[in-house]
Parts: sequence; structure tokens; C-alpha cells
Amino acid sequence: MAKIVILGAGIAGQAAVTLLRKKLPRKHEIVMISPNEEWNWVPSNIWVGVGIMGAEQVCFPLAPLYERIGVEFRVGAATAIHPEGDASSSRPFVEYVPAGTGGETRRESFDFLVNATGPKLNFGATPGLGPGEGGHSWSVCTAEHAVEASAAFLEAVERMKRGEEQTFVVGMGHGSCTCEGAAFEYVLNVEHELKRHGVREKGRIVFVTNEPELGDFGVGGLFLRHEGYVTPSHFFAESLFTERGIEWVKGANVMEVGPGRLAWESPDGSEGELTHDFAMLLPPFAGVGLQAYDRNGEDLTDRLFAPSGFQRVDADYGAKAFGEWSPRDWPETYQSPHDPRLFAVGIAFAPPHPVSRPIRTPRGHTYGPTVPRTGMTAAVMGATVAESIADLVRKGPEAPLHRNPFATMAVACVASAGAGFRLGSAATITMYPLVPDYERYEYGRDLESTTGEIGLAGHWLKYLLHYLFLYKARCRPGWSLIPE
Amino acid sequence: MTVVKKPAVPNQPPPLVTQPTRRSLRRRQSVLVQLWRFLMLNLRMVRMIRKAHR
Repeated sequence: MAKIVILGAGIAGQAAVTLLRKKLPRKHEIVMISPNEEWNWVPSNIWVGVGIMGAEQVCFPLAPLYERIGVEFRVGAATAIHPEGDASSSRPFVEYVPAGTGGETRRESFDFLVNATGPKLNFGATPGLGPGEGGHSWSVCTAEHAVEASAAFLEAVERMKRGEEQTFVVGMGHGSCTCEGAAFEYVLNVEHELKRHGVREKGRIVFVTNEPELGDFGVGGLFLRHEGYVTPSHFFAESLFTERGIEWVKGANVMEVGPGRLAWESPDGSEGELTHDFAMLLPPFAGVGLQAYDRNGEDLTDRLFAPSGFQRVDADYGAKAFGEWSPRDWPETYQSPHDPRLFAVGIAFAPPHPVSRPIRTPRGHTYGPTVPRTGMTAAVMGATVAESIADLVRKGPEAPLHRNPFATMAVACVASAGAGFRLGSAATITMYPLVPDYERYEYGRDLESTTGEIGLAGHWLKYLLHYLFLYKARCRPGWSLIPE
Repeated sequence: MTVVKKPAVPNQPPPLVTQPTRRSLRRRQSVLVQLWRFLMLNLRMVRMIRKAHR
């Protein structure tokens, strides 16, 4: 009988745990350890953040689901991995702090471990960033954050209805942020909602991003074939913003968020500053701070994890200059090179390097967007690792691992530009491969598979996907027929 | 260099950015056109899902 422990009930963790439970008979134990008691369909948090959806529409409790499908659920935060066991037992185990116990640690042994912990939201990287104590901006990273952002947004709308002018700043709260797509969606939804509330003319909206160009999205931008031309994505992003009267600041390394003001460093080393009445700024991500120890208690953390706190997998982490980066640097199996029983998926795996060209300022700061490892890519990684572990359990340690190279993944993304059955809109983007390969494709990607269009149909698709993925995550009848 | 674009204001020259024509804007919100695009987008998604799960 095998025991598999999954850390983190996010999109990647849920894909892994549900597929493992489907593939393996009940005699094999599957344990989920997650600090979150609810599953959150994060892509819809942008709609919560402008007040058109409630948190209950994007979340559901996990305990009844796991009880029904036969998964042990421990609500708590994992703190350390002991892949060799300890002095008393050679069985690997993970330490975690159960919720509400005041710091007392417990251990859970495992035969295979999937690290799907997602990110630590590193608001501390920029002074004044975030919705917590000492913070002066909002976030939509969690449903709870999105509810808070929505309340502040609707207060600003009320002030506008009373005749006040307001400035909205949306974007990335640090030079090394990822998930620019989420901020891009949120700013378009803010604009759409201000129009719907009839107060658009009283609002100035500014998008502040660490991307070197709009439409970079952490994947180095993309080229799209359109009306007989091959056009870079920044033309389309700039067009969308200009059409909606949204101003933008690109290449910004936000240095400080104060009450009603924001300061950043630009690629040329100059400083910029804006005053605002409402700011939604996403934080940079870091690993959740897992430690690792060998059987003697010696620290293995530096061998298992990158300095960012994300787990090393089968990627090439050798230091390389931008021109030497290759799609072959990226992982295929998501297995730890240190221990074949350990895997990491979604945001939890350490990328070997960014995809976008880094920005270097005259002051010596280097920053730039990090590649997104969320949504479809996270779920596909979770499913790939679940297939590998199921084979290792059923066929033994010689079973070949399933491979789904991160670099050559095909990706689809539907970015909302405003909700509404008749007046909604969304940009539907497909991309193949995820990491541009200029040796294979003239423009880095296959132009047949790399597409983008905006319109009402995109909104219908986004709305459909919202319900479809919540249905799948709840393991309703036929859930496994819905692909990641 | 960081560029901050000012919002388009009536009676000013058009911004130096590609802009959709009125026809494009109408097509984006036309229910009939978008029903067709919805079908096409779903087919495109199926192709991408097949590629992603190879």
C-alpha cells in the first residue's frame, strides 16, 4: 500500500489529488495538507474584486468533497520535508502545523510527495504594498483579498457618484512580479464597471507594469498573424488601452506604496510617482519557506530548493546569460533531481530563468516579469505528475515517468475585459509553444496555434469555463472528461 | 523610456496607436457574429487541449 501526500489545494494540487484518487484503488492512502479549507477558482477573483461576484461563487469547502472521494484532509501549513526520515525511522515524512493548534507540529509520512504549495504572497518586498497592516494597496490574489478590494472599489464608485474625481492605479507592485495577465484583466474590468456605473468620465485609470512592453505577460510577448501582417502583442494591448482611455507605465519597478501615492523606478533609472484614490497592485511571489533535512537533521534546504524558495525539479539551473537561454532548460517531469519521490508543480517549481528579457537600470537593479505557472499550465503539470505517480505505484519504480515539457506546452488563456451577457468582452489567447523557440519558429512560436481575438464570445467562453472548472474541481459526475 | 499615454480627448489628433474601425467594434459585440466566433473559439480550444495533453 502506498501513501501519497499532496501539499496545497490550489489548481495544480487539486488536479493532482483528484486524478490520483481516480487512478489508484482505495487501499492506497492519499493525504492533502493545505492551509486553505476552501478551493478557490482564482481566475474569477477579478470579478469578485469589482463586486460582480461574491466569494461564495468562486470558492467551495474541500472537507466534504475529500470525505466523499476518499482523501484524508489535514488543514495546516507544511513547514519541512524529511526525505530520508529521521534517527527513529527511515520513512520520509513532512512536518506541518495544523490550523488552530498554536504552532504545534505534526508529521505525515509518505512514499511520494507532490509540492503544490503555490506562492507566498510577498507583500513585504515593497514597502507599503498590500492590504495588510501598514499596506496601502489592494490585491485580488485570494477571494478574501478580492472581497476587500471590491468594497474599496465600490466606495470609490460612490464618491464618483457624488461628483468626486478618482484615480485608479492597477498593476504590479514590484519589478519581479508575475501574473501580469490578472492585473491586465482587472484594469479592463475596472474600466468596464466604471462605465456600467455611469461614472467613467470622473475616473483616471493608470496601469503600472513591470513588463518591458504591454502584452509581454511574462512570456516575452507574442506575435500574432492578423490581416496579412505578423504583429507583436504590444500593438494589440496598447490599442485596447487607448480605446478605453487607460494610461500606462511600462517597465516600472515599484519601489514604494504610500497612502494615496506610488513611486517607481523606470528602465532609464528615472523615478516616477503617481497619486491615487484606489490601487490594486499584485505582489511578487516567493516560495512558502519549506525547509528540508536529512536523517541526521542536517539542513538540505539549499539542495532541494532554489534561493527563491521554489523547489528544484528536472530543469537546467546553470547560470546563463539571456542569449543562452534555451527551451531545453525547462522541466519535463517535475521530479526532484535530489529524490525521485519528490515532485513540484504549479508555482511551487523553481523556473530555471525568466522568459522575458530582463530590465537592467543604470542604478544596477535587474528585474522583469516572471513566467506564469498558473491556470492551465498548473493543472496540466498536476495531472502529468499524478499519472507518473500512479504508474510508479502500480508498476513499480522502473515505470517511465510521464513527460509534458513546460517549454512546449500549448496554452489557452481567456482574459476578461468586462462582464455582461450582452456587453461583456474578453481576449481569447492561444499560444504554442509556451517558451519561444527561435530555432524552430521564425517568430518564436507556431503562428497557426498562436492566436488572439477580443469580443463578446470570449466573455461567454470565460463564463462557461468558470462553471466548468468549478464542476470539475467538485468531482461531479463525468468530471474527468473535462480536460485541464 | 517610460511612456505615459494620455487618454484620448475629443478634438485632439488621434493617438499614435492602432485603433479598431467602427465595423470591428460592431462585430465584437454583434450576437450573430459572436455566436459564430464562440463556436470557432471552442474548436480552437479543443485543438489546444489536445496539444497540451499529448
